[in-house]
Amino acid sequence: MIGEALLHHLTTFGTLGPDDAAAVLAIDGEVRSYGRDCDIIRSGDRPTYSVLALDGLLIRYSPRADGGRQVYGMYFPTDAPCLETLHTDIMDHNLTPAVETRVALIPHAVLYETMDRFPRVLSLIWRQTLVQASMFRAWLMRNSSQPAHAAMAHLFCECLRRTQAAGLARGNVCDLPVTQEVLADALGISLVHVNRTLQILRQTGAVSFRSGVLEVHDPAQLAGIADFDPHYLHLHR
Amino acid sequence: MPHYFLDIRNGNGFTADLEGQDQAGLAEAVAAARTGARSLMAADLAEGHLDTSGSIDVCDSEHVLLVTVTFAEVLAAATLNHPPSPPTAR
Repeated sequence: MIGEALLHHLTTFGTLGPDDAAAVLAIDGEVRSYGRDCDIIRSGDRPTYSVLALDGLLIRYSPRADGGRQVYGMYFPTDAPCLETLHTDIMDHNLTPAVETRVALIPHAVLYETMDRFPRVLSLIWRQTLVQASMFRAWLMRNSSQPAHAAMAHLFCECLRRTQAAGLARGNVCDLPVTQEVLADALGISLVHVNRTLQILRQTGAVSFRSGVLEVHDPAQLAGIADFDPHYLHLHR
Repeated sequence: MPHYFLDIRNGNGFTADLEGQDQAGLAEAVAAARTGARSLMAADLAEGHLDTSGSIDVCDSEHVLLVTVTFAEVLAAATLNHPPSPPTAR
């Protein structure tokens, strides 16, 4: 199950030969469940494993001085949000579930061995971490330059496109099990502003978000509002 | 923690808070309303207009109105809290 999920994730970004794929399929780890906001890894930790989401939703964040937090990314089932810990000694942010989530903890030693023996797996893991950096740039650009309704539309476009690539979406509908508070923390706006912004987007008829379900009624219109170009996701499907 | 709903009334009409939020108490909920009012006005200002006639209703978990925070009072408080200007050089 764990190897299958990791293979599914990595091949979102590129291709692997049969031997490489078999090696990834053989990767195993420990499955654990975490409740909402129970940090899996915290800033300052020195993890000896990487994390793979099996269900639910994970977020990366840092606490802010005002008691809030800045969310840097959202991670859907089969996403591997912290493969960079293979090469960084110490965590500089936190990884936590937005809802009850099962994850696989894959020992770094297992990943090192696979990467040593299969250079194409190494290359694809490297590529995946570079795509994470690309997504961070897109989030920074979105939050710093777009008005709230366009920024939220951009986030929704990204979530739909990624869940479609991962085979999780149902057409233009996907699960996005986050509270409005998480949206506020991701977009850097207040909760009140999120509420107002959701209403603005709902009134366009392009999208609705309710009870953790994102439904895009008009993908082209939403992409237009967001000025969304998915190339920064570097998806191969 | 108690649950509060923060409904918005401004030039765009009435926006009901469908989800609400947990806050430690009423003071924290009012603080969230004040922050929210400022963020809404900041977004308006960035687009070249400002509506100070709005307000945010802070309601309890039963959606009973507890406090109304007006945009104007939040702006006035910001002005009053502004530190005194240094003397102007002549």
